[in-house]
Amino acid sequence: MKRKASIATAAVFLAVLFGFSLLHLALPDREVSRSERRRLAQLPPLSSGFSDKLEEYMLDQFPLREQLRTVNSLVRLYGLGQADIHGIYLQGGGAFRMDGPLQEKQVRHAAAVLFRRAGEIFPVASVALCHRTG
Amino acid sequence: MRPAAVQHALLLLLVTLGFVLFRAESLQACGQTLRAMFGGAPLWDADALYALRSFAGVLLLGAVGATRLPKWLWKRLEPHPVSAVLGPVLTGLLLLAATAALVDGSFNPFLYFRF
Repeated sequence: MKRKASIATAAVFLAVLFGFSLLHLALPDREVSRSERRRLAQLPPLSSGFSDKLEEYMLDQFPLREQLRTVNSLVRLYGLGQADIHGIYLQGGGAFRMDGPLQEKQVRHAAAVLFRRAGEIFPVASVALCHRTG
Repeated sequence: MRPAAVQHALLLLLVTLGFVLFRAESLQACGQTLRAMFGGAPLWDADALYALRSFAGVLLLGAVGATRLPKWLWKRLEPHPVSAVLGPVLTGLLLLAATAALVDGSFNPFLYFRF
């Protein structure tokens, strides 16, 4: 019984190890990841920095990457009780990213620039607008 | 001979310090982290508390997994015939979960490339 279980464990391990290698060879490389909204790394040419680029390529083109990312999110959210996944929070049926604190200085600066531009185009109206919003 | 508890604490301290060196992107980043660990940063802040709460599950699992408890539990289960199925299945699921975590890129699988 124990021997059979050991063989089964080894078989599972080998199946995962070689299964993913074979799947990588069998499945075509993907161009983009829709869920991440970005281009995926492609097989790099042999040049300087090859090992770094190869690392990105192997990670981006891992077989069943999308499905495994889903598995990881489920394990972390529901198995380990993590509050967010890469800064994305689930709340009331939606997924949200938390923004940094409001930088009032930057908002004021942006508003000032906007009003100056508006003033160049509509001199009278902008004065009224500035007056009203302070 | 030092008491076992002191030895244990020393080992954990060395592992923690060693892992900073291992994990740091550059020597500069390593220095910054070490400085922060030895009084260069507040003991905790809102971010730290949030991270501690969010990662409590994985930390707890890791801490329990580092003890003899899982082995003891498994030894008790092993005579039961169901263990012959449960062993390979659980190992496979754990391997899949670990692979998924690596693929999601939260941890660099080719850590050794940095040396």
